[in-house]
Amino acid sequence: MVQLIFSLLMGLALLAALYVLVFPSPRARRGGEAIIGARQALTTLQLDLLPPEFVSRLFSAEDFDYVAAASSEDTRRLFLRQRRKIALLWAAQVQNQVLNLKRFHLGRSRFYSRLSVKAELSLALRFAELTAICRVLRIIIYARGPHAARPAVHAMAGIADRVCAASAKSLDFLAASRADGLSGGSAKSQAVL
Amino acid sequence: MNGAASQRMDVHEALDDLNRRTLSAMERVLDRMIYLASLRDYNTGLYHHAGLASQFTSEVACEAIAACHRDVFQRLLCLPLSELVAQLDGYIKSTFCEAGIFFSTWRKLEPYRVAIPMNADPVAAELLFSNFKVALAILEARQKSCPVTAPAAWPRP
Repeated sequence: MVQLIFSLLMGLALLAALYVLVFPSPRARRGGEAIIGARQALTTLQLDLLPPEFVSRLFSAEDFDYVAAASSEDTRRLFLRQRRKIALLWAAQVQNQVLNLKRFHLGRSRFYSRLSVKAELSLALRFAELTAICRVLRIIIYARGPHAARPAVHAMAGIADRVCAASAKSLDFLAASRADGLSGGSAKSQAVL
Repeated sequence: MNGAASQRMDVHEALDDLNRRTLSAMERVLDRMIYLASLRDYNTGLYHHAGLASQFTSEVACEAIAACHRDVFQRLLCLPLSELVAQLDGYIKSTFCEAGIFFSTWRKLEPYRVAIPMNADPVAAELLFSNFKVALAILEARQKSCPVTAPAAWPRP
């Protein structure tokens, strides 16, 4: 009889452990989703929106000069209209992805990693700088066209690269600490940016 | 060696085979993109190539063609506009289609919209579509200013 009760208790304990593994707590699930979202934002920025060859093609002086020299007034207008539209779309996408990363840093990363005050301040400044440049860039593109925005684009791409590198380090650390947490290890080490 | 690593090697070999035997015969990147897009089933989004599938497997062939398509898309995207205009001009000549009909059809149907890889970044895709629109406009204006008339009759053989 005692053995039967013991076996039943063991079975219940195993079922409970299985339940916890299969259905994690809402907080852990939200944390996982935030990390996935931030990772996607980072990938979109690094692989799709900010590669130098793509940015230089979008704001290319060579294309502008070619169209100015080789085509009619109508084609020139079509080219400028098209490039302005895409440059605005690009700047808006960059701004959205930067805001996604910023939201993640403000809301989630501090639950897992203890950044130094200096690192937090530096990152906050870079996010503020990047958001401001994105806004200025959109105004320049809208008012004067993409060819006038080249210096601002290069400045923005430089800052965005640094923010992406800092976020990538933070995300790598978080992924490692979550893996440690799942395997029962300690995640108390400190992320240094 | 595990299954995933072996599949990766197969995809690499299939990609090499595709580049060496088929794509090397096409000089223009534009021709390559149109050809690779034509291998895709529009209902499933999967690529089919009987030769590659018989040498490897359907999955490996599909993955290799998809990788190649993404690469060709990136290369076409990074071309200067002048080079895209030259490639489109060469493509039009290779179709033996009357230029006026070609321009009108491409303006209406915009077939380049279905020629890009399925998971292409939307901003990159828009840049390529816009480059096609401008390239078509440049070639059309050029054709109007100095039209190339077709011969009234083919020469006697």
